[in-house]
Amino acid sequence: MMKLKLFRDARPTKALGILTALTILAGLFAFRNAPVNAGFPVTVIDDLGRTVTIPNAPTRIVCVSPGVTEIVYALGLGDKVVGVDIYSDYPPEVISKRRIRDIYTPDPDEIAALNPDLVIIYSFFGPGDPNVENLERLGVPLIVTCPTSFDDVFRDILLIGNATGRRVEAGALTNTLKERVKRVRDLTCNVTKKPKVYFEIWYPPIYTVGPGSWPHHLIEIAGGINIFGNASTSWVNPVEEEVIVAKPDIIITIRGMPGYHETLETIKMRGAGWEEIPAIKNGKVYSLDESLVGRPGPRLVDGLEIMAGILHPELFNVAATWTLDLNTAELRFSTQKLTLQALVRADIEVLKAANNGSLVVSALLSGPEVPKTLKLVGKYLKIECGVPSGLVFTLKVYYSKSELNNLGVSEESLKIYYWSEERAEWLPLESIVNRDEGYVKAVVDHLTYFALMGEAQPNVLETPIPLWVVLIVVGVLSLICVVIYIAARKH
Amino acid sequence: MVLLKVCGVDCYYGSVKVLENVSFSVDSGELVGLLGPNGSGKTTLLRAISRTLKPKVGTVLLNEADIFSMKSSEVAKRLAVVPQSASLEFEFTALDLVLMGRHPHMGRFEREDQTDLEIAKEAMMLTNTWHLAEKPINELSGGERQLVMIARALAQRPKVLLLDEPTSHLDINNQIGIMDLLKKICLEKNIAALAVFHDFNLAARYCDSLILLHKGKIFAIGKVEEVLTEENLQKVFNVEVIVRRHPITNSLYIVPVSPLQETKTSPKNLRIHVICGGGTGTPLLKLLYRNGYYITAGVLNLLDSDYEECMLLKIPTVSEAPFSPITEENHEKNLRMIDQADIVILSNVCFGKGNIKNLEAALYAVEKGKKVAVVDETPIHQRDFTGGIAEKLYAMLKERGAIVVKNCYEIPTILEKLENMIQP
Amino acid sequence: MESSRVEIAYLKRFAKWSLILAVLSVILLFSMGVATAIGPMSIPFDKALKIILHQIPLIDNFVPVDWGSLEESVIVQLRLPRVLSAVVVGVALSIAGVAFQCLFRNPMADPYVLGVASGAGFGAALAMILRLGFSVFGAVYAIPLMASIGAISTVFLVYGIARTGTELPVLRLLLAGIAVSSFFSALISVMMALAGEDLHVVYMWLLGGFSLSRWEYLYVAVPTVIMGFIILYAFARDFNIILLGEEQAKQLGVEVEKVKKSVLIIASIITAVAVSISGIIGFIGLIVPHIMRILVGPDHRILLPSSALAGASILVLCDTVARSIIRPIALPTGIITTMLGCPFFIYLLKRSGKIRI
Repeated sequence: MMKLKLFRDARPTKALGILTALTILAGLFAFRNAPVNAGFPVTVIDDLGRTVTIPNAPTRIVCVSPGVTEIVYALGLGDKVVGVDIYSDYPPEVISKRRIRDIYTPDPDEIAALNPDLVIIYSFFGPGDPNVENLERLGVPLIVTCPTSFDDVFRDILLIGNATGRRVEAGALTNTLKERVKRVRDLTCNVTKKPKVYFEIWYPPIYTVGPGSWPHHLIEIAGGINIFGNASTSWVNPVEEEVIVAKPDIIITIRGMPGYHETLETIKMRGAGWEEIPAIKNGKVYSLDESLVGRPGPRLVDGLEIMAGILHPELFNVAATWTLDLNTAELRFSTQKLTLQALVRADIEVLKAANNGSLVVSALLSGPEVPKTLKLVGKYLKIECGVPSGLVFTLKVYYSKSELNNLGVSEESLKIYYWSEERAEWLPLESIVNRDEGYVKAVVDHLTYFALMGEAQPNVLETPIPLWVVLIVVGVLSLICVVIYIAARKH
Repeated sequence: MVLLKVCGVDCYYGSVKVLENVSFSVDSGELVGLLGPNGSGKTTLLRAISRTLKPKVGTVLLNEADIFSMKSSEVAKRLAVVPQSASLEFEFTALDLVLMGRHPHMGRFEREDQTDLEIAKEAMMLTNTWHLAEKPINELSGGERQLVMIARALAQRPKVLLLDEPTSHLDINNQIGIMDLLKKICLEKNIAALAVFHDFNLAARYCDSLILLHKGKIFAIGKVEEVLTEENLQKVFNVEVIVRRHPITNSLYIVPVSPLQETKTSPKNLRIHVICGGGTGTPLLKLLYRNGYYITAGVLNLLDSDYEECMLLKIPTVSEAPFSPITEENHEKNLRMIDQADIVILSNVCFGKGNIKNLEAALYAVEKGKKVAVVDETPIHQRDFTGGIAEKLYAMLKERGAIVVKNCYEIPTILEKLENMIQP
Repeated sequence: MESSRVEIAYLKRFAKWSLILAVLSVILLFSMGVATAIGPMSIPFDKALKIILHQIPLIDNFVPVDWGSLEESVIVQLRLPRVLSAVVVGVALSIAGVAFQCLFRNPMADPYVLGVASGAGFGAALAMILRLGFSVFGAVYAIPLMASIGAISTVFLVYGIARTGTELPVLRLLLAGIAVSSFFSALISVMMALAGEDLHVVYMWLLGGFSLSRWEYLYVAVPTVIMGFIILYAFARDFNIILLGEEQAKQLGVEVEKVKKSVLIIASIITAVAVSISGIIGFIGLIVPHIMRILVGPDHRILLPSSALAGASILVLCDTVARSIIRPIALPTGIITTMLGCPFFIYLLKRSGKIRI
């Protein structure tokens, strides 16, 4: 090792070395303590134009709106949440949090009892909301959200991210969500034929959505026409005849309003011209969870994609969509079945569910890439649900032997695979193959993409030439050889 | 024949007894008046008879049938009530109102027919209101309205008619008109009528008999003269009245006097003899009476108003036959009275041959040494119809020491002075 | 005996009344026709008429079918029940208003004066917010059922409070009605404060409208209101006389207590029925009797039927306006009745002088 001949004297060199080492150590030490409070205090401007200063990274957050709760959790701040409103139900862990009773006029005392250092609310009123003044008296940083479009929602995510020191996560989340929304927009902007959509929230009397409501916004972006898009209010009470006259192509009913549950059958029973509606005649009645289409948070984009898939299946890669209304009462005694036919043959049997939600099953034309060693049998299935907690179902995918033969997949290797987001790969489920009836069954308790795949068979008969041709050729050749041999022996 | 009979009726409002043991009957063609002070139970009695209030004890018989055993509409066919003037604020015409009287005779879905209209017309002609038939009721005057109500009652074709103060709110001409009408109707149609009155004179003039109620009981019942006596009226109404028979109408009339409540001041020991006549003494007498003096008077003719006043005030008086000159006998009585008096007062009376002796009596008083006061409002020569004798005697009176005052209201002051002189 | 002009004029009045009723009936039929022909789906007037005629059992063979089943469904299942409900409610509220104004001898009385509306509103609010009865009867029947129960209970409550022995003093009734009405209104407010997201549905119901009309409601409502009308009409002459005062009426042979009790119960029942199917529609019960009194006079024998017909026509027209004026939003009909009715009544008042009974 070469000695560093910096100085004539060795001692200064030593000192320099020690000093450098110490500096480096100090730096490391400081760095270790910094990350938590780096960037604070932070000043943000909320949706009502208020300037809010957050002195330290919040560790006790109160969310007074389901959308806000979902955003906060999506940013990974779940453990910092000390209180949520009574309507927040996602993600499922939220069930253990303390509740604020009134979402419309939050009670400052209730909130103060939780000793928060950041309170985020949703304002129904807008600018001039008296609740805001009420809560400001707590002296705790108060962020007011009031989004009316996707861009607003993304802004809120960034806003909350800034306020909580999760700037990076917020940015990443927003980018992904923006991408997805942009994709939907791009695909639908050139669409020539937009289907007419009737979105029902209540019956009777009819309550539907107009401009200014989230479902209306989603319908528009997803490339549809809300038949009440010309109304002047965001909630509309038309007479029934208006719906019949408008002849909607698609009916979407909301799932999750207690006391309201309408399906194709119940709508048909309304008689009086409802059966003549194209949506009813073609069976295009779907139900969507209220939490996917009415909550300004990340899952609103899920709702948008589902809706796009319903409105323009061909554009969004969807072969078909089915919805099943979960009924917890029924599930106590028996199961609920959804049979998929036409493009995909599969059965979904719901064994358990904790909430009355809507199970949305889409058959997709393409999905995450299949591993090299496996082959896809049939189509991708995407199963989603707005209220997924406690959901357990069996998925049975049917196959035919000829299908397998054509693909060269061995029956024994058939398994249902699910797509794991975290590991970005397809993983197998415990599957049972029933050769007689020709299906593969697995029990599922989470929601993602599913696909039936099998291993390619060893190339025993992997020839492009069918067997019988080979046999005949071999036979003919053998015959010729035998004939030549016999002929040669005669001479 | 007896159409209405009330037997031993007791009525209560809540737990308060308002009528006790009321019994009487009314014949057909008879108009009975019901009198009594406020709160004596007149209206209650009417309500009991008209089936509005059920008596706790006793029965009301309509032609021998108990009204409470009959349906309301059955009773209404036989008994009609004319209320005190009711405030009618709606657009029904007078004819509509009279036709309502036909209601008890009509079935539930029946309409008024020709007969009903004729009955109504007859009733309205009788009450002279037919020309008002199409006028709205609220445009009628009080008198016209009352007549329409009577017509309505008549349209019911009742046998018994009850009237609650039928004339109280009416002008004098309407009062007489309605009472004449009622009398006529009772006689012509053989209706038994019972009417509540506040006006004694009207009741006395038109009713065949009277019932006087006092504190829920019948105080007096019978002919007008029997019921309307001064004692009865004083006991029931606590008022002093004079009951007289009117020379023209020949019916009793009642003149109320100031009620006895106006108590005298403590009686004084002075005895005053008043010589007056022709109404000149009345204010003086009243004044003296109010001030508590013991008064005597003389000589006064029987029809003289001062004499009446003396009767009212119960003043011992020497009286003379009406329109007769004072006799020697009465003059002597007068002088004896003067002897007994302490003071003599002569009012502003006119003197003629008939009462010149009164002036002589005054002179006698002064010569006897009695204190005499003379009220000299109008000069004596204007009051002298004796051709100068009175003037001469008057001058002598003044000469002998009579005290002269200009009007009788100065008397009390004089008297006080005199009092002190007589009784130090 | 020759009849004078006056008598002839009086007897003619019955004919005059029949004429008035005939004219009003024509107006009502015309309103119903117009209302049935108006709607989001454009169906020509004559076709709408033919469809309606086709529904009547005896005539249907004379009307050739030249319309689609969709048009028939819309007319018969959607529009007709709505129009008929408006007629039934209009009749019920008008005659109840006449009855109460007579009984209380008070021009400010309306069908809701005994608290029927508040009771019905409370029942309906309970149904809508707590979903009471939804599982057993379904939302469609539970709401009017609970509203009726609420309404009738209120009537019995008021009646029980006001009774003294065998009598039913009118002043006590009014006061009891005010007290009970306020109480239930307060309860409704409490429920609305706790309603959360259901607030809107309850509020719209309370404002009064015909969005929930169905034939099934009419099967109950129509016979009840017809019966109610017949019974009230039977008492029409008694009403005239009761206006003079209860004592005078008794003396004219009217069984006042019996009439009071019967009329109160009947009028309350038909009001309860009306409120159950349409919510709280104001103005009709209060003002229509006054308008008709100015036009046809105070005799209840003409006032009752003409108020019924006029009230029905007015309500049908108001409902048509309510659902057509800001399409596609269907405004609550109760708003339109009040907004259109009051200025019209003020105009009538100014023209004819003071308000009378």
